Parts: sequence; structure tokens; C-alpha cells
Amino acid sequence: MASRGLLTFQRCLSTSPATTSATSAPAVPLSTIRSTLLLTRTPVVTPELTPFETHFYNYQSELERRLMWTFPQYFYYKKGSLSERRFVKAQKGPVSKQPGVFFKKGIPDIVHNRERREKQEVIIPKSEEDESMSDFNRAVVPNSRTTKADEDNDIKSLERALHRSLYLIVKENGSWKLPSFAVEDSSNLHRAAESGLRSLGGEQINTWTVARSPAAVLKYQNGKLVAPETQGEGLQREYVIKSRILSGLFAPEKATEFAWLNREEIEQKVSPEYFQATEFLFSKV
Amino acid sequence: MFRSLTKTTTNTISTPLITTKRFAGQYVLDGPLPRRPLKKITLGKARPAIYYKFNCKTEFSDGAVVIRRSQTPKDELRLISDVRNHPLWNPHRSDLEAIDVNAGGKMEKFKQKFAAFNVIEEDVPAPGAVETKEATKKEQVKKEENDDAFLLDDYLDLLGQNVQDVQKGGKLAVKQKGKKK
Repeated sequence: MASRGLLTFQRCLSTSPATTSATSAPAVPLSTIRSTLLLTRTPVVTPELTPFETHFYNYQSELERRLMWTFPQYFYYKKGSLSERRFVKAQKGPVSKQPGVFFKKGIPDIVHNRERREKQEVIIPKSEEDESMSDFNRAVVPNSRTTKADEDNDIKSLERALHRSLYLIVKENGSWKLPSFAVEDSSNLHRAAESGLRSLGGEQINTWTVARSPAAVLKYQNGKLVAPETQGEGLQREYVIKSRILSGLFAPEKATEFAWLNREEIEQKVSPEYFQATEFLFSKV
Repeated sequence: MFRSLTKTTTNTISTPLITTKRFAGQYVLDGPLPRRPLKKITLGKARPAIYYKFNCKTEFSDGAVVIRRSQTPKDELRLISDVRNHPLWNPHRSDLEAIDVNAGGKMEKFKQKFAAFNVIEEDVPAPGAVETKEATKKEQVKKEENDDAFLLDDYLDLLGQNVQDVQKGGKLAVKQKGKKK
């Protein structure tokens, strides 16, 4: 029983079936193989929310605010200190219960200087802004989610559509597609793709290859896309290698047309057959 | 008592619980002690433990701003050194230098003050190197001797200046006697 288990295990590990199939099938010439690079710029900011999601998150956060415990002022501000005085001065004190008074909005329920019927709103004391404030003390202002590249519709910029995944596509022989490179020597597919990218777009780019194994294969017969399971001779294969851009930029020296586009924009640029074959590679986020 | 309780839980069901404790007249404790004292939670009175949190606008060193939840009473925070400008997280950038967070701290002041003494810090042996304890001890002794010879001898006479003996035993304080009448 044990030996049989070992045998199956060995069978799992052995590469002999693969080699036999390789020898039986006709060898694929290297010139018919190309390495295609799917270079992604991942989203920089959080995704845009739908109206429903906006309402949902708003409700949840308000509910949490309502259920929060009273802010432990005594813990953060020492009694009698200057900071405590500033903090107390900044707060809007609650309306306290008085005998013989009619309260229009209900009788106040105050514990630890907090109206318990509502969420607590703590105001943080701030010194007023003036020009004398140093660069370090200036107010923190969140950046805009839309950039100048968005306004100018600059599709060559990496700083556009910050909430979406962008993919590099280039124009080859009059049609837009993912950049693909010839595998010259019998080096790895991913090395061919990365070196090809640098020869095309310059060395000023920092990328990270997701995996050495290809994510997809595109097969061409007589210059036309065919189904990936097609076998036979005269096939051109393009293996898609996934990669991410970490820093730098794609700046080709030659007059190569290129664009950083999201899924929907790619659909409009590339041919319908090409998009159908590569659709699953592009993220909807 | 805690032990006995755990024992009863691990035993078979047929053995009855010897010790049962009642909390608020409702609950029977037959396991390990609860995290919080049990209290009867009536309908509509359940309240989760949520501490007060502020929405803190945090600016990273590269200018990116995110909103974080924090219990600290701050709604703005500006970071000087973080993952965006630390060489450890940005190995491809050559323009970065690790900012010493303790610069201007006590150790830095000490070093500035006593930099002239030039005390050589002990070399940490490489993790791969295999050395016996005795050998390392001997080396240390040698090093110390060398240090003494070159550096500390010049300042040894300083140690004896203005020394006052500390009284360690005997009568430290004497109760003053009142005046005789």
C-alpha cells in the first residue's frame, strides 16, 4: 500500500509525460513565439463608490458614532493643565437639566458632560491659521481625486484615473495592442518582456514581474486571432506576462504611440476580436 | 477554585458540578472566568464596546493624505518619516537616507558631549563565525586592556578629584533631643 502511494507520488513529480509529449509534438520554432507584457498601474486612491455604497457606509459610520463611548477627556488632558483648559474652552457644552424648565427637545440626560441621547461631538482646539505658521504646522488638506491629467485628458500620463487600474497599450502597425516582443535567444519569457519594455520605453522605469509563467496565450494564424486551444502549424503565439509599474515612466525615444488606459478605454481603442481575447486580463476596478 | 472549575468541565457529563457561582441571580458559571463581570443585558440595552475615535487626516511624507481612525484627540497628523521615504521600503531609490528618529534625543546629546573620549564600541561577532566562549572572553579582556592603555589612563586621575566618601553604615540620622527644662 505504502509503495503504491509512493509510486503515485513519484508519478506526480515526474516530468516524463511532459517530455514525451514534447518529443512527439513538432518543436515550436522560437521565431513564432512572442512575449507580451501586461503592464499595470494599480489604483492609487480608493474606488469610486456607488450611491448605495455611499449611503451604506454613511449609515454604518453614523451608527458607530452614536454607539461610541464618551471621550475620556481626563485620560488625555491632565486636570488643571493649559491643554485641558484649551480643550474645554473649545467644546460646545450640553444643555443641562434645570428644575421648572420646559425642554423643547426633550429632557437632557447628561453624564460626564455629555448628552447621552445623541452622538458625542468632540471639537479639537486649534490655533487660528496665519501666515506666520511654518510649513510643518499648516493644515492637512486631502488631495484632489482628480488631477490635471484628468482635466486635460492626457492618456500618456500615469497620474490619470487614480481610482482605476491602468494598462499600457502601444500602437503597432496601425492597431492598438499590448506591447509584445520577440524572444530572441532561448531566455525566459518574462526576461524577454522586461528587456523589451526597456529597449522600447527607456531604462527610467521600475517594474515588478508578477509571475514567470504567462497569464494567457494569444494565438494568431495568418495574422488573425484564433481560439487559444487551436493546434497545428503556422501558429504565432503571444504569451502574456503580468507586470506592475512601481515607479518611473514609460518614455519611448522613437515616435511610438502609447497610452495608459483603463478597461473601458481599451475596449474602445483595440479591435473587438483582440478585446474579446484579452478581456479577462483587465480589471474592472 | 479556578482549577477545580476547569477540571469539572473536562470531566464527563455524569459528574455533577461541585462549585457553581451565581452572577446577578441569573448566570451559572461553569467554565473559566469571564472577561467582564456578567450583567443582565435587557432588551435595547446592549451596547458594544466602541471607544471614541477621531477621524485623523494623516499626511505622509510624500504628500499623500489618508483618513485614519484613532483614539488620540487629533484630527490632523503630519508624518516626517514613514514607509514612503524610508530606504527599507524603497530599495530602488538612491536619494533616500534613513532619518535617525532619536536625533536630538538623550543619546545624541551624550554622544556629542563625550565624542572626544572616542570610546570604541565592541564589535559584534558575525553570526556565521563559530567561536568558543573562552576565546571571545580572552579577546574581550585584551580589548579592554588596550582601551585602558590608550584612552582611559589619561583621565583616570580625574576620577579622584573632589571625592567625598559616602556614609554607608553607622548612624545616618540622629533624633534631635529637645531642650532640657
